[in-house]
Amino acid sequence: MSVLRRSALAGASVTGAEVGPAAEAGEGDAGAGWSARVRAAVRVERSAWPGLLAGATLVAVLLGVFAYVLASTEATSRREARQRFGAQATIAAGLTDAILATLESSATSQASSVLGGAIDTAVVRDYAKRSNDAFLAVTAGDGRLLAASSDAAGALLSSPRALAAMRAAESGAPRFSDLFTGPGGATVAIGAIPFSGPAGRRIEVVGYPAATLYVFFSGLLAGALPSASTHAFVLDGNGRILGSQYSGARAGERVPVYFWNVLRRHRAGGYHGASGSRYVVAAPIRTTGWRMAITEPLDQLYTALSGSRSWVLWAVFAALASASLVGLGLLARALSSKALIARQSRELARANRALTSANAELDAFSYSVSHDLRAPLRAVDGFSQILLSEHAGELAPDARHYLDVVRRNAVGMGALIDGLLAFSRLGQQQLSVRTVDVERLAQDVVVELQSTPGGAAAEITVEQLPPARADAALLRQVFVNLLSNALKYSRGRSPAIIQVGAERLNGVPVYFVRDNGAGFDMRHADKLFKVFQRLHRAEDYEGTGVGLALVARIVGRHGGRVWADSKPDGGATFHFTLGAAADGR
Amino acid sequence: MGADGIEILLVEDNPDDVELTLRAFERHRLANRMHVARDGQEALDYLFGADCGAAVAGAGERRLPRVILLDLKLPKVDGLEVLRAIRSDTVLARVPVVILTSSREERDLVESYSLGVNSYIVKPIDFSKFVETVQALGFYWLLLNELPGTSGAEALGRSS
Repeated sequence: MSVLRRSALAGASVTGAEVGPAAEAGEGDAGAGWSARVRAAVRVERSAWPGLLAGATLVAVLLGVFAYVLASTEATSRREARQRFGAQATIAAGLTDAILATLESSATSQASSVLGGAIDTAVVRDYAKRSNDAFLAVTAGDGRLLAASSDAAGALLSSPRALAAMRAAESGAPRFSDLFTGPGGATVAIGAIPFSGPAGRRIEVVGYPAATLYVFFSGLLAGALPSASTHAFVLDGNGRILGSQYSGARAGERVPVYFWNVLRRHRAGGYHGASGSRYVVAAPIRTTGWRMAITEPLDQLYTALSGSRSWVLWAVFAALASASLVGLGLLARALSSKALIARQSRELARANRALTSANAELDAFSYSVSHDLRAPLRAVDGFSQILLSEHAGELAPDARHYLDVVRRNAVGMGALIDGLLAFSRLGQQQLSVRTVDVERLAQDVVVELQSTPGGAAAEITVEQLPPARADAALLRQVFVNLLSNALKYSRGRSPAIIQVGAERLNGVPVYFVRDNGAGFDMRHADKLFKVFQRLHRAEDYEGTGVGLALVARIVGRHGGRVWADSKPDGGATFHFTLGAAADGR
Repeated sequence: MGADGIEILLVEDNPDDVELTLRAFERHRLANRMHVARDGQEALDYLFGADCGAAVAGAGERRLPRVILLDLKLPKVDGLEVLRAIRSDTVLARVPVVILTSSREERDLVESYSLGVNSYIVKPIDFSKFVETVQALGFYWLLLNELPGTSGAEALGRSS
């Protein structure tokens, strides 16, 4: 505002003193208003926090619950998938068990007929050859060697592995050892199979070559597994491969350490190996002490069972989460704009109350001024005059002069008070706007002024003036003040020539009052329309300094502007408009 | 007219204003026919006779001055209240009331006239003008104006 005011006055110094609605409105305190508004905006953001926080918490809780349900559902289905896979291992182990049991029973009956009676090395060697065994030995029920396919085989029976197997077999069920390097360097596993023959209870100790076992188990496993991605192994107690349908496996090889580490400690678990992340489950093959282990890639394991459903649910979750974020954003905006509006209306109401009370105070003030300030002045003037008229004889000439000065000042102050009251009242007064015949109004004012002592000598002409939308009483005041001014400052001219006219500027009528009087220095033009500012000394031209301020205020309230052109001793022209709407035509 | 020959009731609280007004009327020999009330309550008491022993205000003898000069801003009861009381009394309602005040406030003017005031005069600061005004006032209300049951000529004769 102060910038506007300054620019309006800067313009005035070039084209004439200029006061418009902008400058008129510039009396406010908008300078401090901006920072207050910024602070208010910050407070708005803060005041929206509790609501926003509540919304965010609610959304977070809902999303959390959803995610928990989803995750636990997923965990459940993963667990179920693992359990189902584990069951596969158990089934495979059980099947293997059953097949082995069948084979053993046929082996037992065959052994009892061939090896149950009198035996010697030739019989044993012949039988081992027919069975593709690596070696074969037959002992009595108490473990005493009866016959062996080779000396080395016989010597082998004293090895801890063979003794352990035989001792276990003494209880009546076949027992098998882990793989080891047997006689002749071949990798073998021992099987101790008890049987009863004509000569009583005996144990057949068989050396099975790893390759033979591998062929047997691989054939078994190849047909038993539902999925091509599943790898199955029959492993001995040391993690050496007895059989597998996996193309990468080799007979008697140890499985990789990471794989074996899982199975050594747990029945099942995940591992990361050469063929990716896989899950392995093992089940014991009861009669052998060996294990069935099957593996499956993790993604296959879960995808096959619950993957697609899970994907859809997590997509739903993501959609919900992003929708919530958008919702929160909107909520934040709604809350802050709501808070902003609430605060603004509160501030507006407060400002209104302040304004109302300020207005009431101003009203009381001007009433008081109007009533009480004039009474003492009247007493000053009245008693001075009584002194002058009734005690004139007792007063020295300069005492009478001083009393005249006192009286003149009292009357002058009365005029000041009246002007000030008129000026202040103008701010509050409602305009009663109608179409005014400006030319006639100006003529009336001229006639009135010409009847006063100062006005009679002047030559005043009123040209054609367009009508205007204005408050007639106030517009009349404008003409009275401008014409009185013109008369006052041109009273030294002979003759004083005053012209009231109008021209058009950008389609808007501009009224003017021109005189050939004392004029003023344009350097001081910015003071022209300010209240109590005067450009002439009081002893030259009397006046209160309110008249032109009043004119500027009236013109400003009509949305118009007023400006002046002059030079010292070159007369003065005062122009004014009554706003864009003031074009009465 | 009042039984005690009072022609003018001046209701004014400012003693200087009272003195100046009396002086202005003195020049026209009207001052001795003037009663001064220093506030609104005193004015009402005077008009309704409450100051001469009547038990209830309004029950005493009405005093009927030929004109009441009334200031607006008064202690106790303000001028507009006094005016309202005068206008709501059937007998007093006929007495002309002139507001003689410093206030130029539009609302005072409007309210005074809507309460039925006969004249509204703003006291000028310039004493000469004030004297002129008072002279005109007295001339008009006491000499020219006709009231029921009396005449301007009678009033003039009695006051001089």
